[in-house]
Amino acid sequence: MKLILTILILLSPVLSARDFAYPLAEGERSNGIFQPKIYGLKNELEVSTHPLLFFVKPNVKVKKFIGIKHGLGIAGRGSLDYPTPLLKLLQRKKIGGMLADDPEVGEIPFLLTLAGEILVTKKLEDNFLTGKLGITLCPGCDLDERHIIDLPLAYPRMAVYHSGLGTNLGVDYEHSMNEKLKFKADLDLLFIPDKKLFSEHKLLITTPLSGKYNLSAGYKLVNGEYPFSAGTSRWDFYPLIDLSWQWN
Amino acid sequence: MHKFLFTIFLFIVSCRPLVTTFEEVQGAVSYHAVVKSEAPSENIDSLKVMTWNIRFGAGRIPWFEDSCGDRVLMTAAETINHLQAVAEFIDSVQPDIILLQEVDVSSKRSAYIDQMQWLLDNTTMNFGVYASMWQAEVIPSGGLGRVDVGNGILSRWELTDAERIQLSLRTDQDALTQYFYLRRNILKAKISIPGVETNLYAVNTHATAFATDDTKQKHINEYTTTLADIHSGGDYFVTGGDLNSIPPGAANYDFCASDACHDEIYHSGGAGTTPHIEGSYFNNFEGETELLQTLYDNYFPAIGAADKNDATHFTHSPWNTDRPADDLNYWDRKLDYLFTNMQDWSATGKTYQNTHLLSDHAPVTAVIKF
Repeated sequence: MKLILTILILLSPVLSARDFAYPLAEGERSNGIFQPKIYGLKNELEVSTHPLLFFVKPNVKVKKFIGIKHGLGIAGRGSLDYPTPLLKLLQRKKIGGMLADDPEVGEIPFLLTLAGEILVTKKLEDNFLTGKLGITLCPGCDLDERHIIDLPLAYPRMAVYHSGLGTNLGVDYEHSMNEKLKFKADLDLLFIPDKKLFSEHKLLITTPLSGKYNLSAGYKLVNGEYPFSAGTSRWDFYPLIDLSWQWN
Repeated sequence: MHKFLFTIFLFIVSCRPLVTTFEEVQGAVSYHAVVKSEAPSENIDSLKVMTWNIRFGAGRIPWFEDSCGDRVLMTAAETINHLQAVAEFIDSVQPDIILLQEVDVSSKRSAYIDQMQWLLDNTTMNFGVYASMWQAEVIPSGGLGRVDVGNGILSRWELTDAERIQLSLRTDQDALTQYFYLRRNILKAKISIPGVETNLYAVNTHATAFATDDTKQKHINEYTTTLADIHSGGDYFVTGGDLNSIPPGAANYDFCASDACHDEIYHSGGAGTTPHIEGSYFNNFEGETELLQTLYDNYFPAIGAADKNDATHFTHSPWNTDRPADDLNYWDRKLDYLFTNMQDWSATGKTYQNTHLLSDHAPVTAVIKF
């Protein structure tokens, strides 16, 4: 179980919620194995949460479409994340322990992150180009750095629990090649105080399996400097595969 | 088609494995000091050799895996404090060759300090070779995280032809545990001593500690085969390491009672109890207590046969700084050895038990005369 949770915590940021200003239409639903469950609500609101993680890492994300200006769709997105229960679960001496139960390192404190993002999308026939800018705050957080999992993807996200602040900047491009193939590429830059820049690039090809199900495959390329990399940045490559489904 | 296959190939090979596996025989990693100390270049008439398991620069902290403790991750300052004491001791003894075991080069538990490089840069040693015995992106147990630990050889003179020779894996583990577990090795390198014409090898190993099957027998067999190959080729070696075996004729082969943590029960045979603590019992298979006899029969030990079971030459105990003030049981068994095929050097053999706060193993030295 702990291994599954660990895999989820590592993979959940890989395939995050739709980075797209336009929300799902009211009544529409979307879900995936590694993607969050997304609900389209009225008043151009969209709510999402990661259902598998929710019971150990309560999390919710709300997106509100603000409007169109100069042909650009604009939305604001806010999220709350409470990782303390999950981290406490992963802190143990025996097998499955991802965090050290060491009296000198200490217990997992109360951690709550608040994030806000602005999304701007330009629609061009079959193409969508989205830019995003965000900030993540973890008020009062001062997690011992030794509790941060020193693995790509997890490290920059958990570093916020120590620094209390992180910002991100990104661009997403989506293109429908035809009815059977959709192409998506993105580039995200993560800024953590006192750390070098972390960058992540993803490419996904999505094809419908039926009216409801979609299969996605691609890769994620990550670059960053970690405590073990002795002052040099390193590249990591991950193949991606996910099954998602949408319904009304 | 070729492009497609290449894409698939790229996909497979690009994913970094969680655990590094090794060839049967492969080159070792080379090191050198950033600033080299002056080493004698002529009229060299002796060679002082040391073996030491430095416990990844953890001193005697109550570490959770091996001494009933609860510590897991040291700070950089803690690690460097311990390494500083190790370096000062090395420079006080002034060995020419050091066979090191449990050297961390990129482990979260020791704040990712490359201890091979650190020791080269903070002692009179100039060259080093390293062979990992446990290299993983993450160990999902106890919060250990990333680990890269292994055997090292430090030398005042250049080391060449360095090889990492794989030892057998344990067979008393399930496949998943074995995947994440240690891959022990023999580290062998030729020492280029100016003016010394003979081929002289340094051979370092760290045999299994915790196997309850006959893996230790296999390790000692593989080790003695490596030594026999050098010997039969007419070459010389200085060798040793943490053999995790007691000397032949040792009075005690069962340390379960003294090593047990306060909540552990051994030897009771009751439900839920384990007969022996892994690593504390040295009679798991027939002949284990006499496992090292072949080394004593064929080569010259640093601590002679008459002294090998003397308490003044014990080199290990799991004592830690959390133990009661009246418990001064720093050393209660001998696990660390030096041998050579050159000459009887036992008159020069020393065990340094005054290092009881620097590691859970004591260093042993002996001197070869040219």
